[in-house]
Amino acid sequence: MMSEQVDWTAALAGVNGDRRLLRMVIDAFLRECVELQVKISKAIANDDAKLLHRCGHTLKGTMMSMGADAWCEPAMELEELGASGTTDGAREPADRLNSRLPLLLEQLRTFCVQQDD
Amino acid sequence: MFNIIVVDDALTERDLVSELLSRDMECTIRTAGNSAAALDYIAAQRPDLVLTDLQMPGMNGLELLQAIKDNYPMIPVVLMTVQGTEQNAADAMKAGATSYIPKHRMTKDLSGIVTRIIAASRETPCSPQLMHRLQSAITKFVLSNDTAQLESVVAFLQPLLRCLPLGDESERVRVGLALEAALSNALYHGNMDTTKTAGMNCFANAGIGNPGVIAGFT
Repeated sequence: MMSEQVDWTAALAGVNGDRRLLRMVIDAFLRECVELQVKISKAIANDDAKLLHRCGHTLKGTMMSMGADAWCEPAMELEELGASGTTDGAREPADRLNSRLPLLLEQLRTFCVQQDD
Repeated sequence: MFNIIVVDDALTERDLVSELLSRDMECTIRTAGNSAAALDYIAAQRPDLVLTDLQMPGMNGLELLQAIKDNYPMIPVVLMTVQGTEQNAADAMKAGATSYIPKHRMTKDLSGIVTRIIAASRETPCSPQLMHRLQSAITKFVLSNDTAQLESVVAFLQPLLRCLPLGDESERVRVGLALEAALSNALYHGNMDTTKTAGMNCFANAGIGNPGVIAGFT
């Protein structure tokens, strides 16, 4: 498993080294993340493969753009399951995602606090 | 003021694109989380440019592009793509997208592409009706290795594109961007290889052939 640390070098490279822009992107992600988690749960409960695919795709892409590659794996699995037209087997990667996300969110919030100081 | 709508179901992406646009240019920016909301806005406000994600729930970006081409052919559409959807981007160019931007290059490329589209859209140095009546023209430039000259020559040639059966103004803008890309290829790589760029297909579609005939570099 990759180290569960945000790659800040990659994250900053994605926004041309602009810390304020990265802060703004993280703010948006912090708002969107909970919504995506809820949607993934709904997708699994309602056997909605399209929604699962879309949410996994969005979560994966956003996390990659923020240097959070270590968290991408379960999101990618959800995306692939959805793309293949099924939600069977999605509960396990979804649980893994939900258990790992708090650590990512904590690191992102810490970055935001540091920018405010 | 230039009016742009950003369409993406991902809030983070919408905020990022809006922020980048508002930093770099004077424009009005509206966002929509899905194609239906975007079409409502387009019908009411007729924006100058649509920037849209490809993959969205409900009506996807390609379907939105088609709806815009069918109902508002004057409005240029730029697709925002992610890695792995390059074929979709090529399909979008064939379907009439003005250009596309890979999302991982958004911070680097967005401003330049939108600026060029704005410049091409605002170009009205002579009557479009007059240009439609032009029967023939021969233009020959010998350019030095200066990218600024490429922009100038494309700006010069944009009105002449009205002489071609391109269909609508957004197609003219698209051909102008492709022309600039082809000239940049010639400047940086020393050739006019148009086979590797999806946008170049519009030369063939427009019956222009190899744009290398119009320019030489010293």
